[in-house]
Amino acid sequence: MKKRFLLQQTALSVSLVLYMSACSDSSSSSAGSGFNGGSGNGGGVVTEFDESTLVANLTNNVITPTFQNFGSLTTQLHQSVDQYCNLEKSFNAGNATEQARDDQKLLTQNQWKDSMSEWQKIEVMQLGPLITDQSSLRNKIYSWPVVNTCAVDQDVTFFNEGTINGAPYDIKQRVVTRRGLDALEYLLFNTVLDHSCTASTAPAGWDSLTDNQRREWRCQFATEVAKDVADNTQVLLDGWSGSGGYAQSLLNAASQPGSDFANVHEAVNRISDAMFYVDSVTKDAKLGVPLGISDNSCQQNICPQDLESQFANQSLANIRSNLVSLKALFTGELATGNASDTTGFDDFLVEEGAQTTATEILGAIDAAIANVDAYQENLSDTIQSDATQVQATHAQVKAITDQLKEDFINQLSLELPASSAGDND
Amino acid sequence: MINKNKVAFKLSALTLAFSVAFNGVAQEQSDAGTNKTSTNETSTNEISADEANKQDDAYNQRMLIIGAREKLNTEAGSATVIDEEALEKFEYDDIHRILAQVPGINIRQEDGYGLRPNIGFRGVTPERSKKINILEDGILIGPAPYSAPAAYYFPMVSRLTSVEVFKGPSAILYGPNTVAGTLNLQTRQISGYSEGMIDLSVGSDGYRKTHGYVMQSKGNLGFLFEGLNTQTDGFKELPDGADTGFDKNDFITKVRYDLNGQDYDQVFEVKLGYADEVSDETYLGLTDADFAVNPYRRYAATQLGKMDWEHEQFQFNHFLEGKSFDLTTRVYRNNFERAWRKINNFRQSGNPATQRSLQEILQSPEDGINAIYYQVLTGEKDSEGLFEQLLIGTNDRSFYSQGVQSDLRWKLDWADLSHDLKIGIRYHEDEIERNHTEDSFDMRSGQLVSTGNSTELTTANTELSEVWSVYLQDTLNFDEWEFTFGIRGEFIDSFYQNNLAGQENDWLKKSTTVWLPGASVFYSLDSQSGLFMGVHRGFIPTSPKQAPEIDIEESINLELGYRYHSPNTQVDLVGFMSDFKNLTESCTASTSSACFSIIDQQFNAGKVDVYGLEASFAHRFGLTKSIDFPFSVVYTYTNAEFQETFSSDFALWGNVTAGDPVPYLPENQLTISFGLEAAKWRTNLLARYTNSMFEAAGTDVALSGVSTDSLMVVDFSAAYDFTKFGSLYLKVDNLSDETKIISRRPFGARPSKPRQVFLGYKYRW
Repeated sequence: MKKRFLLQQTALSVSLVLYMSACSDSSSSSAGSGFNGGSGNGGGVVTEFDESTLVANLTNNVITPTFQNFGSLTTQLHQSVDQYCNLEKSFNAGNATEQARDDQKLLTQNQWKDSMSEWQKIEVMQLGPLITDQSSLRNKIYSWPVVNTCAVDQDVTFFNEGTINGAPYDIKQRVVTRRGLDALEYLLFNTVLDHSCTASTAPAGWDSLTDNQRREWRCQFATEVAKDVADNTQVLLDGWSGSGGYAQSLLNAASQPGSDFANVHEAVNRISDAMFYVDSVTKDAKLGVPLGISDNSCQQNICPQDLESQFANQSLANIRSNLVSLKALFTGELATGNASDTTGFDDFLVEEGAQTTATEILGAIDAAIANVDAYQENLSDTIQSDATQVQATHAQVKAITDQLKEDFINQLSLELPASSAGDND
Repeated sequence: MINKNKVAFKLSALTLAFSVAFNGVAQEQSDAGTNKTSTNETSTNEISADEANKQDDAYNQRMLIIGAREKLNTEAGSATVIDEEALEKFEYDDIHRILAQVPGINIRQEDGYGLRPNIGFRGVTPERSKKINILEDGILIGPAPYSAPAAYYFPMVSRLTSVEVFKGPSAILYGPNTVAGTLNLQTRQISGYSEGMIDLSVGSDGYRKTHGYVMQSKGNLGFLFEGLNTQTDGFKELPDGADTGFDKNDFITKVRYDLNGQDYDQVFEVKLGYADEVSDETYLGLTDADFAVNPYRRYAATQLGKMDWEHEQFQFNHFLEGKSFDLTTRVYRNNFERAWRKINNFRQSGNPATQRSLQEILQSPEDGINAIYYQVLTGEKDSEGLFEQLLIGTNDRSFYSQGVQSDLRWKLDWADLSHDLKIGIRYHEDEIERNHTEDSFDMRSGQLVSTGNSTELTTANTELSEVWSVYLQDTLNFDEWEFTFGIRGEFIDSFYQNNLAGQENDWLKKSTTVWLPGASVFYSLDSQSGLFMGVHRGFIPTSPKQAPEIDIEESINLELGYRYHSPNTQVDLVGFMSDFKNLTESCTASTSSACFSIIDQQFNAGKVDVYGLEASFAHRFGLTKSIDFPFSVVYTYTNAEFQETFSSDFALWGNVTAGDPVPYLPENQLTISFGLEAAKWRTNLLARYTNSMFEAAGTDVALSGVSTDSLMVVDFSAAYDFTKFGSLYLKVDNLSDETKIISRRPFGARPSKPRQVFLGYKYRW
């Protein structure tokens, strides 16, 4: 009797607690309009838009041609630096005129500017081989803002002496501040022939060289650096193209084998991540830091020494290239392109019913490019003489990125990259 | 949005309700509540009559969650008690070392001293002990257990008289975290006698301990004052020779008044406590290569690291005992303030290609630009560019935790069955207010020099939780069977508000109601052994700022065990399985520098299965009439695997494939201790082995594929009792001086404590 009662009570109790636990959990919430940055993005997307067409067009007609064009330019740049250096050596040997040397140097400098202009488009397309291994390849080609002129001065000496710490000099083993387009800028455009190091880090023997020797040592190292840039660009092209390349992975993203992506939306999001370079780098690092909007080297005062291009004065051109690249990705069309397919993010937005957002973003990009084109002086001079003009440029770029962070992301159910999750404004 | 510092205790009605409701009940005399001796699973030494009387005190027993027992424990859970005598064996200051004697514990050491413990039970991740309940005298002692459960405050263990670890279905009595279990730390109780103690100790690396207490009782009134200071210069080495240790103080005072009546006995007690710590600690460890050369090195960039905190506590207890019931009501308030200055990172350039977390730099210090950052960290290179500026952050946080709880224990016979009822209700409120700032420094000739930039306010927010909790548990006795059914309810209202200028609309309000059932059965094979089985629902709440999409952590926990208990031998064998419906983790600076931009963000991992085995055996051999040989073995096997494939930004996970192991869970742990003990002297040796542990689960995070070292540590202690003239003790931690990498978090390899020798003198009166 007692046992039966106990069993009944047991069954009743178990039923009761299971019922309560299964049926009685509840939760509710309410949030302010600014919670989670105001982003209501749930991460998933149900769309009629063919995202694989977008990925295919951007890969085949925007990104790949840009990479290939940069490849050609860096090959030409290496040849040009080599020619210039031969003339520098000929001049020192009395076999060439100063004018011939200077003419070739100018050609080489222009060749560098063309290469840099194209590279600045690629900065907004950092994908696949450029971001794997902690962006190692990207930093070998161009490592700004991690640059160090003294490190370049030291390697000029090491290279010309042929050894470093008793081992043969090998630029492939050297840290990225001593190579790449940034090192080449210093070597080709810097007119000061003294080294830029402190007494304790000065390159051995540099002070005892004549000016001609210094030019010759620098140009010889510049040739090595230009070759290294061309080599690394070939590594980029190899990693991008071909059956095992990253481009193919993007193209296969629509649930086909041989892709790094679970679905095509993930591939779209990866390209979108790259576009946010314009927010965290173009807007914040290239404009916000020199303007003192963020902490800088000048206690948040106007700080031209924090501008990107310190020797070639290409800071403004670089910003323009970033914007042009963003426009190409957004519209699906290179400025120089004549592809029949021009599917871009603008089309995706229109398909999602966000025609206004598409129009506004495109308008903001065009306005920012027009703003940059209106400069009469380089960015270094302008920021010191008329900071308001640079602030206006910052505002124009911010107008783009504000749209990208909110309407663009939300309408297309994309996720913000971590670098743009916070707001440095 | 948030009414700060609200002191709405809402207690009176609650307490009164219980008091009135049970004034007239319980006519039947029973031996309720008080188990009368001090035997436990780690020490069975005979104790004096006085000592026994003191521990008989029903009120003092209520401050324990397991209690002292000499007979077979018939609760279906793994219960371990380390009493004062066992604690004194090794005079440990580090809770990690104490818990090596308990099965089913997984620990990630960090600073070598256990200043900020990382403790998990039965496979739950140990990060900052945030998934277990930590109680002091039955009260949640974490700074803000619901709003910010990371245990940055932990009581100094030298002043504790008992450490209890409880895992299993009865975990539902001690919320909110029921997935794993509860750690209850008992402070010294007023015994009814006048006594005192002074304990002085010196040791390696400038270690000094000064500890004492005075207890006086007169009639119904008793008081206790206890003070403790521990300090050391530290065993790590900064380039400039500065200290790397700590200086901690802890003071506690209690006043107790006993009111004994004809039908009811009552106890009123007030407890006040103050503690502080200044420690020259850092989150930055070493590269593996540097660790191999000198594991105790600290880089120049850590020279400004400092933790500075203060803790205040107030507790009022009321205890009402009748013939068959007792009611304990506790009102409590804990304040905690900390300022944690530490290196956060290099200045972020905004360019993902060149940004590196400290973890990434130390993990591959020669790769690409990492070499530059590494040289700045070590002081070998001066900061030149903006990207080489170091950011030193001060995470300033204020917490409070307050509430009132009543716990009723009532034994009654009803419907021909004996019932042991446990009923409780608690109103709890806690809050964290964050004010995080950051300053930038250049490295100049091995010294950190301010860049002159102004201090930046990086985070300012408040999280607040207001919670009602209730539980009901009934144990039914029937011949050899003991059935226990219980349920706990948690009713959580939480609020988050961003306090940065212009962020007024960044707020979140959440309400969560959860019911947590548990059931267990114990079958007594005979008076000394039994089998048990239990099941309960595990739960861990999300913090107030977590978006509603972040699920609560919940699990179904099963266990099956065997227990044997005789005066000289104890055996426990428990198999457990936790089926997590959703495992969550939160990103703190203690996890990784990748968390700084998303501090305290929580992440979902979906299903996770954890299973394992806890085994312990303790026996006391009598070698001669006057010499005993106590011996114990504790073994834990744990297997924890993710059941889903997913990608996560959380630094411990990354791209996880189903079947990947959960990080920081050693598969095997073994502790063996033995000694020789006589009336006047004793020597003890404790050896513990911990398997290597994965530092990350999946791929594409900084520590993917990296494990900690397996670790074998042997500790030795000896003491001689001069009777009237006190006792002298000697202890050696890490006898073999084996130093291994105990973890690479927060950033870089961290060493275990080297061999340290301590000599102490203790006098009691």
